[in-house]
Amino acid sequence: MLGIDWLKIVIHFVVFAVLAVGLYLLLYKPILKFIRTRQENIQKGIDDGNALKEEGQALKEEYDRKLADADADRERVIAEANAQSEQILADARAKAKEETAAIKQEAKRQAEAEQAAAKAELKEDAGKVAVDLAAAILEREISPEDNERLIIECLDAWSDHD
Amino acid sequence: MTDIHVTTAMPLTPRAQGAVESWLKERYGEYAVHYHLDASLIGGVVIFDGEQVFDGSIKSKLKGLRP
Repeated sequence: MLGIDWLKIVIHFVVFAVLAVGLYLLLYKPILKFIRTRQENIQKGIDDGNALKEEGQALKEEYDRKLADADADRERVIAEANAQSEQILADARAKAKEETAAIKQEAKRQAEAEQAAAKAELKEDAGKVAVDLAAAILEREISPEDNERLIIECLDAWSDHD
Repeated sequence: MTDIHVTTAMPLTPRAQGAVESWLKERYGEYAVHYHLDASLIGGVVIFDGEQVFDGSIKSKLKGLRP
């Protein structure tokens, strides 16, 4: 009926089945395996990329933190250097002031000492001049009566002393 | 007897000489006095008994006043 050759159909069906099984075994499985392997490699690449990205992010954060720390250190060092320089300057000013005061004090002391020495020298010179003057006057003015009175006073004094 | 040397700047008046000799007698008893003149004494008297000097001269007083 209808001219259908069931045998041919069965044979084609069998051939198709054999071909399908053959293709499945020979092509589908290796291709699937290749695709899976490829997919795994890509996923691994993506994972590695993500890991590297995270590592890079961590490194960047660490770098930023170190940079911030370095900035803070730099500011601190500059502040300390400024403070030290100001302290050194203040110390130098104070020392210079003290030395100036000491020099002034020493100069004043020397001036006073020189003034005292000059006064003493003047006083000594004046004393010598006064004594020389007194001697000259006495030598000229002393009379025999004055001399007599002096001698008697001396003798009385020596007698009293004994 | 003690030798006494009495030095003055000018000759002694009789009253002064009497006072000197009275003092010497009271101090030494027996003595021999020798008078000397030395104008540099200016005034007063210096008595030397061989060991001790009694210096009452104006020269020595002025020397004591010198600074």
